Order: sequence, then C-alpha cells, then structure tokens
Amino acid sequence: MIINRHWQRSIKMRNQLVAEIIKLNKQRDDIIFLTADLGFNFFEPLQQELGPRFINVGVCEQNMLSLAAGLAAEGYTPFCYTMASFLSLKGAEQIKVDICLHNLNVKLIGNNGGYGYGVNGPTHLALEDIAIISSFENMHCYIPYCKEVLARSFSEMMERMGPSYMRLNRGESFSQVVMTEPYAAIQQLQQGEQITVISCGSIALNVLKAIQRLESGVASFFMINELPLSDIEVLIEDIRKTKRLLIVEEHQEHGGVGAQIAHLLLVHGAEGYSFKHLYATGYLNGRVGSEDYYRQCSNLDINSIYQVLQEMI
Amino acid sequence: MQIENREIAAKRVLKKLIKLHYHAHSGHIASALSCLNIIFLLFSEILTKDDRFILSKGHGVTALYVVLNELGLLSDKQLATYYQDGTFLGAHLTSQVAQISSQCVFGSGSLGHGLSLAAGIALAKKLKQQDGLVYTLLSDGDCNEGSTWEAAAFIAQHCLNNIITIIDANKLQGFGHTDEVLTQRRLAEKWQAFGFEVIEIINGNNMVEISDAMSKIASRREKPLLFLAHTIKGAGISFMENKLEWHYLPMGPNDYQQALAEIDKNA
Repeated sequence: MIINRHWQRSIKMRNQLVAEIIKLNKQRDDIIFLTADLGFNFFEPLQQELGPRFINVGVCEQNMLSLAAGLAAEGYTPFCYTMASFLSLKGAEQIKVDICLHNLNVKLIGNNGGYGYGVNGPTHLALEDIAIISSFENMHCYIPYCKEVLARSFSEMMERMGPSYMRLNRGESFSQVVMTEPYAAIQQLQQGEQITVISCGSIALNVLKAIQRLESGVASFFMINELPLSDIEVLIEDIRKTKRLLIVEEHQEHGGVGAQIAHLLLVHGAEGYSFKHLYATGYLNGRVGSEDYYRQCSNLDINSIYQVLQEMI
Repeated sequence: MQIENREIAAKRVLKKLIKLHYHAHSGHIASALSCLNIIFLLFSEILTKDDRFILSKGHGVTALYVVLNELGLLSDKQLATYYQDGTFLGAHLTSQVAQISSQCVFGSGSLGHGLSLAAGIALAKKLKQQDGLVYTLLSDGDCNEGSTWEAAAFIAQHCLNNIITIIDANKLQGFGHTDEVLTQRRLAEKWQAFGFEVIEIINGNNMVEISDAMSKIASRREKPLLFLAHTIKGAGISFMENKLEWHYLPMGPNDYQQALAEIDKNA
C-alpha cells in the first residue's frame, strides 16, 4: 500500500486516540465508537478491539449524533468520529438539542480541525468548528496540541461526564523541555516579560518555533487546551504585566480562542495593551493547497509569526 | 381497558386537550388531535415500564400532557402550568421531559431527530440484551427530513426490530397538503424498500383500529415494524379537521364552545 507523506503526517493524533481508547476499553465495557465511514488504515485495530461496539454508521452524520445521544441515555459512552467540518456543520442541531440540551455523555471527535485536510479544499476544512461547538450549553472542548497532550486531554475528557468535543490535527511532538510542563486547561509553556502569546492546537508548534527565535525570557507562552476558559488568573496577570498580547489560532476570526480571550479581557477590565490576532483568514477564493500553504496564506507560518512578534516588542 | 371505558376516557382526554389549548390560547391543536388517540392507547394499554417513547413530532406534545394527566402521571397543578413562564410544559417537549414521564427520555421540537434517538436506545437495549421496545411517533414533516431516512437505513441495516415506529400521517403539514409539498402517497412502499414491515391503519384516529393493529407487535419478526396511521389533522372537532389554519390558530370563545358541544354531542 502506498501512503503519501501528507497522509502519514496527519494521522499521528488520531493514532494516539486509537491507542487511548484501546487502553480504556480494557478497563470498561461501556465504550461505543461510531464513525461516519472514516477509518481506513487507522481504525482497524480499534474495530478489532471493540467488536460490535465499533460501528461504521455510514455517511450519516446527523443520524450518528442522535444515535449517540440515545446510546448515552441508556448508559453507554459513545464516541462520534468524523471530519471536524462535517461534525460541526452537518450535525450542529443534533449536537445542540439531542446531546447538549440533554447533557449526555457523548464524546465528539473532529479530525483535522483548521486547515488539516489541505488540498481537499474548503468542504473539508474546519475553520468554524470551535465557534459553533463551544457555543453549545454543557459542552466542553479539548484542543490538544500534540499527541502527548492528547493522551492527557483524553483522560481529562473521560473523567468528565457530559458532552465533549476533541479537535484533532497534526500530532508532531514538542520538545522534551516543553513536555515537562504540567498539563492544565490553560497551560503555561514558557515564561517571559515582554509579550504574552496564546495559542491552541497544533499550530502552536509554529508559534513555539517563532518564539524560540527571540531571546529567552521575552515571551510568555500559554496554551489553551480546553474551553470554556477557566482558571484564568495567571493568564490575566501575565497580560497585565506584559501589556502585549498575541493570539495565534488555526480557526476563523470569530468565536474561537482569540475572540473568547478578547471578550474575557474586556470583562476583566484589562486595558492599555496592544493586541494582535493571527487566525485562519479563509478559503482563498477557491485556490487550494497543503495545510502549510493555507497556513502561510493566513500568516500562520513560523516566519510570519516571528515577524509579528518582532513588530510587537 | 374495556372498549366502552376506553371510549369514555378518550372523550375525557379530548375535552382536556380542548380546554388546555383554549385557556393557554395556544396553537398546534390540530397536530395534537391528530395523534391523541394513538398516544392515549400507547400509554394506557401498550407501553410497559421497560419501554421507551419518543415523540418525534414534538409539536403534538399537548396530546401527551393530557394523556399523562388522565393516567395520573401528571398532576392538574403541573398541567395548569402549560404555556406559562417558567414551565417545563412548553409548546414542544423540553429536555426536562424525564421529570414528566420515565418512559420519555428525550425532548423534541425540531423534526427529524426522533427515529435516530430511538435507534440509539434500541441499539443499547440489543447490546445489553435488555427487554423493552422503543416506540417513536413521527409526523409527515418528520418524513420530509433527510435524517429520518438516515435513521431508517441504519435501523434496517442493524435489524433493530425492538423499535416500533408510528407515523401520524395526516397529510397536512406546516404550509400545505403533503401532495402539494412532498407527496407521501407511496410512503408505505418507501419504508418497505428501506427494510421495514409496514402495517397501515386505515383510520388512525379510531381506537379499535389502532388497538387491533398494535396487537401485531407481539408477533413481529426480524424486520423493524412501522405503523402507517392514516389520520385526520384536527380529528374529532369537525371545523378543525383537515384545515391548515388549525396548525397555528388559538381558539376563540365561540370555537371553544362549539368544540365542547361537539364532544358532548358525540359522547
């Protein structure tokens, strides 16, 4: 079988997910995994592990989500897996009404949030998923930024009863130094004095590489691993200290982490600081390309982020 | 329940429904009338404690409220909160439905969800090898929704014969007759083609016919069973029957008196 480089690079986070579910399934028998006809070359081991509790529901996202609500109402813990775009848009009402309003323990997994599906184009890209899904009552979002953090996010997600959404993307590892930082919903990866930088998801690797070009001790770097935002005191204090804030996310401008942080700052009365927001600017009027290409077009590549950092400090 | 007592109780429930809508000044009465006898029969004679019921056509919810009240499962005091600020008894079934009935686990209101929810519960029961059937009541509008057909395909594929689907086919939807909007003339064939066993109830408002049809539930086989109940929207109140406006309009005093007089006359 020929698997191209792109494919291999994009599967890491979901492979970690498979490993976590297989591990969990050894301890409990309430897991049901539903996929909307996706899984070639990565869900086969999970299928084997779960047997009749692994179901390919077909290309029926809406049915999958309501079905999961029914299963959860009877005590099962269902996962629903499809592309982040299909999950958040095709099934939005099923998520809102059947899962969230009934506060059911359904775990939604959206693959390749952001520009992850690259050259597959706008139908497959998910720039709105966090805005939509995080707006629903009782919903808790997990946005791991590498496969190691996914393992930790997964365990947090399984601890919490209720509707959850996990946004997957690339899973490249961060450096060992970074990974020694303890996991938290808002996780500080680096301390600095001149600028506060916030990111979420796998785009953070670009941010980290841009920050590493600066002198050490310049940038404070925070990851938003979960929404809604909680335990914000250290973050707010940091922004008050540096007076400069850069937020970088692979999501459209409205309703994502950037917009939610900006709102939070207004509520907390932080003022007199400079603010920049780098986000996924859109679908390029029909031009398509790799995830890196899209990122570059949105100034989400390492060089562009570095340039903005320099301008701000 | 003896047939004679059943008819008397059904009239009482019908009267409750008319009163409820009149005093609340609320619409959707024709939708509730259309399925009132089906819901009454289900709750009074068919559902067991292991069964579940999903009202996919959430806009017919007042039929459920008055039936539960008649059966002593919803107090007069609770029923009196219908349509009031802060009530759990809204114009559609809220997600707090479990506070009203242990057999109803899901709220509804947006069409096209019920059959998938039923499929989830039914699948769980199969996996756990649990007793109990999952009943779901659909409307014509539900059959317009694509998600209903996604569920139908899934149910047939997985042989979920512990689902009993009932379609309240009154052939009058939100803004026109089904023939003018999306015809349902070959609805039985469509469900059969999806893999369902279809039993048509010619007069889906008639308690005896509904009851006779549902007696076949016990002898159902591998295929999921569906009752296509041909009903009349607004059934039981002559001036509301098959009239689009009674999907929406509240009753005025004259309508109310006329409706009550009709019920008494027919008693």
